[in-house]
Amino acid sequence: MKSALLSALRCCDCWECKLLEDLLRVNKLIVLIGLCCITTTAAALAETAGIISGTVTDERTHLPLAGVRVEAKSPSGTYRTVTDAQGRFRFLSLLPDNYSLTFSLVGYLPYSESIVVLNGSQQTVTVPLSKTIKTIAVTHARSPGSAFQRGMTIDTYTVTGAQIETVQGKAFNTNENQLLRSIPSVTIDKSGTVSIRGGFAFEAAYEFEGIDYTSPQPNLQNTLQNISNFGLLNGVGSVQLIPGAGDATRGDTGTGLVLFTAKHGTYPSYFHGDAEVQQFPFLHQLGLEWGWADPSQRLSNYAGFIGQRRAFQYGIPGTAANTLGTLGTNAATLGSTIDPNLVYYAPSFLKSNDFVDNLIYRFGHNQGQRLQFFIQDQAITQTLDYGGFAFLPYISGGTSAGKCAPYVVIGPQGPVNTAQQNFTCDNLIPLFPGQPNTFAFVSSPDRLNSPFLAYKFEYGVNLGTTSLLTARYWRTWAEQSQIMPAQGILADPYGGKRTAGQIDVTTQLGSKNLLKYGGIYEFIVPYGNRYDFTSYTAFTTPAYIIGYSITHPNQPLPLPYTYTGLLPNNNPSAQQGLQQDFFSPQFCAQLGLHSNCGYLSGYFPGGVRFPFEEDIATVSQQQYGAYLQDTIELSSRWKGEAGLRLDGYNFQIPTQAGAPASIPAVEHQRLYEPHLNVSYLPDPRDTIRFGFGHTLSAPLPSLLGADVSRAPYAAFENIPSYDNSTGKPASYCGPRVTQLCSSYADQLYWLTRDYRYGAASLEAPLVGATFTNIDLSWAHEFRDGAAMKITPFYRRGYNVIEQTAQIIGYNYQTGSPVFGNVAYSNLGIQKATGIEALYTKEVPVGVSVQLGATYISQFGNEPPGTYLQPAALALGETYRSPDLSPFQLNAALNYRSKNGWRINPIVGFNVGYPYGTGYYTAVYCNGIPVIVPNTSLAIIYSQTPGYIDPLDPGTCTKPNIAATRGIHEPGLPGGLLTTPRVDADLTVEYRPPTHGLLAQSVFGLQIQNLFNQLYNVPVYNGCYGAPVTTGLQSGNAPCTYSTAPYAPPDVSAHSSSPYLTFPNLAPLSFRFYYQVQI
Amino acid sequence: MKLPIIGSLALGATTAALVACGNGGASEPPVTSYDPAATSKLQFAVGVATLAFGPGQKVAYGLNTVETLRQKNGLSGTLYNVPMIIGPTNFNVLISTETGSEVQSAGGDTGTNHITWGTLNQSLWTGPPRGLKSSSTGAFGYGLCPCNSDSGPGNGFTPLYQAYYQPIYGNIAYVARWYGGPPAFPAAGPSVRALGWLGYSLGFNDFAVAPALGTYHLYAAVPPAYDTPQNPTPSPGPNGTPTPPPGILAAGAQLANLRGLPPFATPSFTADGHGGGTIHLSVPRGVSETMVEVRAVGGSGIGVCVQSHQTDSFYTIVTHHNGTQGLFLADDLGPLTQSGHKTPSICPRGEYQIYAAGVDYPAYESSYPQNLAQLPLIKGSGGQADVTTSNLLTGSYP
Repeated sequence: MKSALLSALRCCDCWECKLLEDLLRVNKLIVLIGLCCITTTAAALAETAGIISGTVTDERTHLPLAGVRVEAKSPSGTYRTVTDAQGRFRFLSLLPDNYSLTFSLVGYLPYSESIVVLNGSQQTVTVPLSKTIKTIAVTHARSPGSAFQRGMTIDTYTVTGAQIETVQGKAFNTNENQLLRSIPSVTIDKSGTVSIRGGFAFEAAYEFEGIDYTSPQPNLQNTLQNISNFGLLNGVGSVQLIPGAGDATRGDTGTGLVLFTAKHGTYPSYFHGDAEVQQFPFLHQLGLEWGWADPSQRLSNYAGFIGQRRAFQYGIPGTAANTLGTLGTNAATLGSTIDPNLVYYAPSFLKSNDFVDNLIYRFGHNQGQRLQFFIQDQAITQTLDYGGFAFLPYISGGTSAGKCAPYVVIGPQGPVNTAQQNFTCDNLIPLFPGQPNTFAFVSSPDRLNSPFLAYKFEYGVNLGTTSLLTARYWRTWAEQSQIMPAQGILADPYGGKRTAGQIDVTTQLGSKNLLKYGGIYEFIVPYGNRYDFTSYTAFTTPAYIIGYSITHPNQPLPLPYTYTGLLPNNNPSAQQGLQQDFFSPQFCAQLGLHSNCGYLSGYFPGGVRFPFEEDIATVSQQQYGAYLQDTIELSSRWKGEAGLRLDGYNFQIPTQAGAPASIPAVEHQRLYEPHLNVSYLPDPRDTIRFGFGHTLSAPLPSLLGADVSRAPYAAFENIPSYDNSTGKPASYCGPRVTQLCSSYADQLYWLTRDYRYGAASLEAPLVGATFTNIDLSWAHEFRDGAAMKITPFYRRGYNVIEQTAQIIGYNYQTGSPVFGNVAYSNLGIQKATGIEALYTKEVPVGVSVQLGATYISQFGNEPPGTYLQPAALALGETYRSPDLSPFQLNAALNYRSKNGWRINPIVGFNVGYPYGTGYYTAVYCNGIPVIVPNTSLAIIYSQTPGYIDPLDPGTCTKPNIAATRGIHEPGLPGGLLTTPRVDADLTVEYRPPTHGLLAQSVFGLQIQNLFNQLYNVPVYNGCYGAPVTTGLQSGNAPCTYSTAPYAPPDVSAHSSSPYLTFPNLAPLSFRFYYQVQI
Repeated sequence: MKLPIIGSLALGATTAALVACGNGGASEPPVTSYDPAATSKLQFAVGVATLAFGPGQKVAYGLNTVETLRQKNGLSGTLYNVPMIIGPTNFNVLISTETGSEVQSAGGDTGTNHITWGTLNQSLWTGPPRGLKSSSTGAFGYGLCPCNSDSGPGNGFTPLYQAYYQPIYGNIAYVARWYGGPPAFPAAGPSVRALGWLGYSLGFNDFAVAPALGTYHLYAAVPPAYDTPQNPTPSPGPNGTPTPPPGILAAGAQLANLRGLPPFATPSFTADGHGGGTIHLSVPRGVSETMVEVRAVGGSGIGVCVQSHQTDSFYTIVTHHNGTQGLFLADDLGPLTQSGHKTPSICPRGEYQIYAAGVDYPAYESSYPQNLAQLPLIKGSGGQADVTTSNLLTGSYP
C-alpha cells in the first residue's frame, strides 16, 4: 500500500507531493493522494469572486484528459464545467466559500478535494486521475487566512470569518479598528485612527464588496478618517488588506487597500442572533443575520442587522467631563495645551441601526451568469455634550443681558470686559435658529445624524470557458446632519455621493497566462450646506472677540472657551475694527466715535447682526482608471505578474477672476502606475516574493475649492463697500486680497472666506500624492499547519500634501500657539521603512493564534504638536512621524475546548507614541531658514523648552538659554516616547451541547480594557510655570491657568509637570452576550 | 490541554510584564531641577546718583543701585523672582528729589525704607507692556528690570529686556530709558529686533529719593513651588526677615559716602547730514567711564529710512576719558533692512535724544554680552557704584 502511494506521488512534479512523499517514507502520514499541486494567489482584484483553474491528466500516461466533469460545490453555490482538449478547466467567478472540488470521468475513479476561495483569489490545481488505485483523498486544506500562501505575488493579508472571531473576541463585534489593527502593516495612531504602513488615513483606500467606501467628502466626525461607514462592521465575511502597491487592478490605493467582503446566502440556510448588554457604560446591542439559498443555489440572499444603543465613558467613572483632558484626536495631534472641552462636547450617546443585504442570482448555462444586488443602509445618531447641557450656553456665549464674557480684552491686571465687547455680544452676534437671545442656555444637547447608504448592481458573465466579464454600478451617500447649538454649527444635511461604473475582465491565455483588464469611472459630488455661527470673528479684531465663561457654579461646565474666538483674522489685509460699522449711533456716541462708527445704521435703522457663515460644496470630482495585467506561470517555482494602471482625476474647480494660473494645470491629473511582482518557491513550505509598484492617492475634494455662500450677505448687497479706517471702499476682496470690493456684501463675503479658508488656499494648486512601494516577503509553513510571514518594506511618498502655518501669536488663556493662514502644498515627504510579521495557527479545537507585529520607522514633514513651519518645509526638514508608535504587536489567542468552552484573550501592545516639542526647531532667522534651538527667539511665546536670558538673549541661531523646562527634549519635536502601552480584552464563551436541537446557544462574557488603561498621550502643559533657573525648578505664578476661573480643576494637581496626561479613554467594562445559531 | 495552559500562562506573564513596564501612556516626563540659591549668586552695590534734569541744568541726588544675579555661566540666575530693596532706617521713600513732592506710584512704599515689587511694577516706571500684559520686575543678571516671565501665557514666554524710565520717582517729564546699542554693544539682527529687542542693560537703577548712609539689602524671592492661593509666592517681610526660607536670595551693600559724582552737562550734537554726527560732551572729574546714549525716535523722519526705523533705536558710545571731547556717531548704525542693507543711524528729519551717564565703576565692562562672569565687578574704588546722568538733548536731524 505504501509503495503504491509513493508510486502515485511520484507522478506529481510538485513540492507538496514531494513533501508528502517524504512524510510517507517516514511513516508519519497515512494518506493517499491522487493529486497535489495547489497554488494560491490572493490578488487585489476588484472582483467579488475567486478563480479556480487547473489541468486534469492521466496519472499514468500524464496525458491531458478531455471531458472530465468538474464540480465545485459549496453552501454558497455549485458550479460545473468540463475539461477541454488540453485537459484544462477553470471557474472564473466563484463566490467566496469552502469548496469541494470533484472530478469524474468514465473509466477513471472519481476524485475530490477541498479548496477555499476568497474574493480575488486565483488557485491552480493539477489533478492526475487514476484508473486503478482506490483511494480516499485526504488533503491538507490550508486556510486562506494563513500567513503562508504558496506562490503569492503581492503582499496581502487575509482575515477569514473564523479569524475575525479570534481577533475580535466574538462574533457581532462591530469594532472595525480592532479588526484592522490585528493585521500587520496597520498601526493605530495616537488619535485612534488606522494607518497603513504609516500613511495618513486619507491615503488609504477602502472597499466593501467592491464598492469604494472612501469618504466622498471631509469626514466631519474625524477629519483624519477616510472611510464612509463610520467604522462599524456588519455583514463582513472576510477582510483582505493589501499594504503598499498591490497590483494594477485597483487604483487610488495610496499606502494600502482594505477590502471587506460581505457574507452571502447559503444552502442550507442559517440564522444567527445576538443580544448583548453592558451595564457600565451602558450598551445594548441586537444582531441578526440570515443567509439562505434555494436548493439549486441559483438564488441566495444574506441579510444582516446590527442595532446598537450605547453611552460613552471617558476616563475614570464619575469624573467631571472638564477634568478629563483631551480625547487625543485634535489636541494630541496639534499639540494643544489642556482643552477639556474636547471631552466636554464629545459624544455621550450613540444610536445606530445598520442593515446589510446581499442578493445573488445565478443563471444561464452552467449558471455562468450572475446578478448581484448589495445594499448597506446605516442610520447613526449621536448625542454630544458629554459634560451635560444644563446651563450650557449657545455659542454666542453671553451669560446675562448687558454683560458678556468676563475676559478677552487684556488689561494690566489681566482680562477685562469692555463696552464694545458687551455691545457686540448682546446685539451683533448672529443667533442660532431658535435662540431667543445671546445669553440664553441651550434647550437640548448637540446632535449628529450620520446616515450612510451604499448599493451596488453587479453582473458577471463567463465569456466562453476562458473569460469572465464583471460589470458593476454602485453609489454611496455619506452625509451628516449637525444640530449643535452649543457649538454653533448647523448642517442639514451635508455630505457627498459617489457614483461609479466599472468593468473587469479576466481571461486565461493558454495554461500560463492570466490576463486582467478593465476600467472604472467615478463621479464624486459633495452636496449640502453647513451653517457656522462662530465665524463672526471674521469681522472683529481680536480685542473684541467674544468668549463665554463658566455659567453656573455648581455645574462642571466648560472653561472660558472660544472655538475660534481668539484666532485673529486670517486675512492679512483684514480691516481692523469693521465691527464698528454695526454699532448703533447711540453706542458710537457713547464711545466718543463719530467719524468711523455706525456706517450701517443708515441702512438698518433698527440695527443688524453679523451674518452667519454658510459653507457650500463646490468641487465635484471625476476619477477614472484603466489597467492591464498579466500573471505568468514562469515555471513550477517562479511566477511573475506585471501590470500597468492609469489613474486620473479631474476636479471641477470653479474658476474665479484672479485665481492662480496654475489651477488648470493641476485640476486634471493622470498617473501611469507600473506594478511588478514576482514569487519564488524554494521548497514546499517556503515562498519568497518581491513587489514594486507606484500608487496614487487622489486628493480629497475637501482640500480644494472650499468656498462660502454669498447668500447670508444678501441684505448688504446694495450697500456700498466701506472701509472705516480709510473712509473709502474696501480693497481687500478677491482671491489675492487686492481687489476693490463691489459692495458691502462682497466685503463681508471675502472677509469670511479668508477667515475660514485663508486668503490663498481657495484654489490651492495641489496634485495627488504618489508613492513608490517596495516590499519583500518570506513566508514559511510549519509542519503543524502554523505559518509565518515576514515582510520588510520601503515606501517613499512624493507630492505629499502638507499644511503649513506660521505661528503668529498665542492664545492668552492657554498659551497654545495661534497660527496664521494655513497653506497647502505638495512639498511634503514621507519615507517609511519597516518590517511586518504575521504568525497564524488555526485549529478547530485547541489554541488558534493570530499574532501580528509591525515595526515602522517613518520620517515626514509632519511635526508633532503643531503645524509644519514654513522654514521646516523650506529646509526639507523631516520629523519622526508624530502619531505612529514605532512598534506595535497584537496577539489574539483563541482556545476552544471540546466541551464547548472558548477563551479568547486579545492583547495589543505598543512601545509608546512620540511626543515632545524638541530641542531644535526650524525657523526663518533674519530671512534665512535654519534649524535652531527651540526658544522664544525662535517660536514666539509658545512651546519652547528653552528659556532665553531676557538681558542677554543671544541671536536666533545662538540663543542664550538660561533655563529649560527641566526635561531632556532630544533633537527635533517628537523625540520623546510615551511609556509602553498594553491593552487587553478577554472573552469567555460557553456553547452548551445541542443534543440534536437545531438551535445552538452561546453564552459569553467579554471583558474590555482588562487592565483599565485610561490614559492617552501627554499634552503640553500650558500651565507649567515659567522658569526659575537652569534645569528649572517647579513653576511659578504667571500661568494664566493658575487662578480661577481659568484653572481646570485638575491642573493644580499636575502643575509641576511640563506635560500632562489625563485619563480620557473608556474604562474596564463587562459585556454579556447571548447568541443563537440555527 | 497542556499547550493552552502553558500558552495562557506565557501570555499572562508576558502581559503582566508589559503592563508592569507601562501604565498606558500615563507617564509624564521626569523633571530635573536645580536650587537657584545653590547655583546662582546675588551681589548688590549702591551709590549716589547725580541727576541733571530739566531746563537750567537742575541737579538732584538719588540712590543708584546695581545688582547681578547670575548663574555660573554668567546668564541670569532666575527668570522669575520678586525683588525688594530695604534701606537703612533713615532711608525714606517719601519725597522725590527731582520734583520736591511726594513720590508718585510708590504704593505702600511711600514713607517707608523699602522699595518693593509694588513700586517696581508701576507702569509709570516700566512703561507700557510690549505685548498684551506687562512683565513684573525681577532681579536679573545685570540690574533690576520688568523682565519676569509672566507677561505671556505660562508656557515658556521669556520676554526681552525692557528698561525702566529712570530715575524712578523722578520728574516724569525728564525720565529716560537706557539701552546699550551699537557701536559699543552688538547690533541685533532683524529677527530679534522684530521681537521687540531694543538693547542691552547698562545695569544701573536710579531712584530719585535722597540716599542715606548705611546698609542696603536686596532680596530676591524665588518661588519654591507652584503659585496657588494655597501656596503663594513667598516675599520678604518689610522688616527684612526673609519669609519663608530658603527661597530668598539676599545681598547687602554699604553706602558710606554721600558725595556723588559731579553733574554731567547736557551733550551737544553736530549732524553730518548722513545719519550720524559728532557728540560733544564734557565728562566730569571722578568719572571713570561714560556711556553716551543716542535714541533715534522710531517712526520719525522722512524717506524710505523710516520703514526700517519703526521702533526706537538706541546707540551707545563709550569713553574712558575725562574732560571735553567729541565722539563720532557712525552714519549707518540703523536697523538692517529686510534684505540686509544698512540704514542711517538717524533718519532725515528724524527726532533724536542724546544723554550720557558717567560712572566710577566698570559698568560697561561688567555688562552683557561681553562679561559672563558670575560675579562681575560692580563697585568702584570707593566701594560704591556712583553715577551721574545728564539731561536730555532733544533734536531733529536735518
